Amino acid sequence: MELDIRNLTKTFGSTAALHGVDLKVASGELLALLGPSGSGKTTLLRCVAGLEIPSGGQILFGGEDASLKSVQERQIGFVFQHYALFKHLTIADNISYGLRVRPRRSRPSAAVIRDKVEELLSLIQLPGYGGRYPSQLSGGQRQRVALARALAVEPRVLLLDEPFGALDAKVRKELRLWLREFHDRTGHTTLFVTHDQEEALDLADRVVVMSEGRIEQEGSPEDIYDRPATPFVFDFIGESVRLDIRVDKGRPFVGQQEVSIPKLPPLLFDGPAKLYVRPEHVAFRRDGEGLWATVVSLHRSGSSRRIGFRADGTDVVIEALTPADREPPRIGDRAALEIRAAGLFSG
Amino acid sequence: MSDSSVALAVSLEEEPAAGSVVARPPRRRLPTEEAPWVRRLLIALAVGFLALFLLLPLITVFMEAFRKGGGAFMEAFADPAALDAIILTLAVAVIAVPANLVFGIAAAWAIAKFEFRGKAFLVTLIDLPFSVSPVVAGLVYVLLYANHGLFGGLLQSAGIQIIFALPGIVLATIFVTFPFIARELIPLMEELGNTDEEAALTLGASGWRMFWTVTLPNVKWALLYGVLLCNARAMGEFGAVSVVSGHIRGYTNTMPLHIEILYNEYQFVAAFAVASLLAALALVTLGIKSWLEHRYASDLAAGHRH
Repeated sequence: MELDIRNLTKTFGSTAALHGVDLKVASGELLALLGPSGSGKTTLLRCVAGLEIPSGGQILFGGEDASLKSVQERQIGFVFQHYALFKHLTIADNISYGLRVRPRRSRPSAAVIRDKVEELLSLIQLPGYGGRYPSQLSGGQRQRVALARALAVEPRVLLLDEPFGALDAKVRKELRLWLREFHDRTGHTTLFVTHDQEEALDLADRVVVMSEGRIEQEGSPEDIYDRPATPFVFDFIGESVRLDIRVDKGRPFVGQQEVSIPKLPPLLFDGPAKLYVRPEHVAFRRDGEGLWATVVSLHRSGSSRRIGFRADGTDVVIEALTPADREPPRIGDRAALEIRAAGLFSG
Repeated sequence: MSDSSVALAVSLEEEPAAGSVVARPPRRRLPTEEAPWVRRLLIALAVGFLALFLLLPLITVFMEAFRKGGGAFMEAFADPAALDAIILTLAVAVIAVPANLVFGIAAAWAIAKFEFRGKAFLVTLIDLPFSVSPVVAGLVYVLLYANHGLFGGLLQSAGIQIIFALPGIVLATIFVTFPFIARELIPLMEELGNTDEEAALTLGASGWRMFWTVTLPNVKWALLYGVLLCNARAMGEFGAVSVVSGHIRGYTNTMPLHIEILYNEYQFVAAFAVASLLAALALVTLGIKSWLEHRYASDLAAGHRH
């Protein structure tokens, strides 16, 4: 089932949570809504679910307008950050809840429900757990049960709100891999919200980066990481330093030195600009061509070492990342920097 | 017994001395721990106070009730007025408790699940019966519903008698016992939030279905706890009921009122016999309450206790 979100707005009182969001989700796609807290990603998800009423715009499920439909009519599966399992019901009763609350006419028989529960329990790799209660399960197991419960009603779209947010780092990674595999097997159109970029880039077919109720960029994880489209995405995704530079006759200058940056589109403006550079895109040599700078700091972090360089005649500090086993320069050493990739924005 | 324990203590004392010289570290108190004599004094004070003011009167009630033997005790209940009082008390509780169950759930739902103007005022209003004297509550109902009261003419022309009749007693009881269930549910429902309900809705449950299968099971122990306290108070209420009832023997006398009448007529055994029934009810309530607290502590609201 494909989703089409058109010019969706949502205001809470006088604060706007969504400013006209347009988004298309292809059938069977696994899409991540990524952004810091307050970016509107959860509001967007809850609007799709029908748990929030949008202030304007449309949401189409498979070409059919669902904006005015109730939560129940939308036939979505929703997974909450804190699982929201019914603690007074067994795992089997939790999973079958959505089937058992159907009106008598459309309710499957007890035998069909039982088979469905067994099938889902083995799908989430918890066979034989049907008789237990949620409190007897670990966090990761509970979230898998929550997923099975959402899938039992055969939803048209699966919506996950920070599904791994309440789990510890190790379980989170395991479950992430598991969900990717699970999605590849079952192929539900899936939207999931996260503030963890690693999770989004690792798991999703496509990532939508949001900030302050707007979509900043949408694209494949590679697009988002390698070709950030806006200063916000550069800041939010991965690591980068921001350099205040100047563009003169279409050429970028750091202090008095011109820097050459490959793959940069032609610069159609002059004046102050911001250059975003990732540490792994900075190389340094002791001689030759490049941006001349002085080593001002050295930090060891895990398997790599980060070296701070101050560009000659400026206060601008650029960081470079090198393997820790490589002989580091000393503070005060001079080097020529090569910037292999960067983003440049006017202003 | 005490000799052997002393011997044991001595032998233990001697053991380290056989090896190297071990200086026993001086026993030090935790900063938050009081000196032993302070502790003993506080415990003695609490126990003494409770014994004198709570336990002793309770025992006296039963002793007085049985002073002239079981026969005299039973005689008190042979009096048709006593039976009528018991039936009326039960009838009032049977009406007032379910009414407060519905009102309490509705109020708790409104306060815990929605944001609206005047919410703080509503919470304060729910607490009003706790802070106002029951006699005042009774008088207000008389002022409103008695024949000379605000709605008196209207009610009289419709042939409805409220004051000095069952409806008045029920109204006064509902007023006095209103906070018990609502107060028990509000903190719990606020803590639980909306997520379970939202989960039920996304799974296709109707609002009604969601309430019965998710909301109610989540709060059932707190609800039972509230009902229990509400019932105990409904059966024992004196002040408000006394004002609106008119003390018509065999007609508008509840158990507490009946006890007072018997006492004023110097029928001590009968008075204490009926009183012992109320006291027994209190003990049963206390027992179930303790069991609920022990068994379902985590399911009951954390914040608020009576």
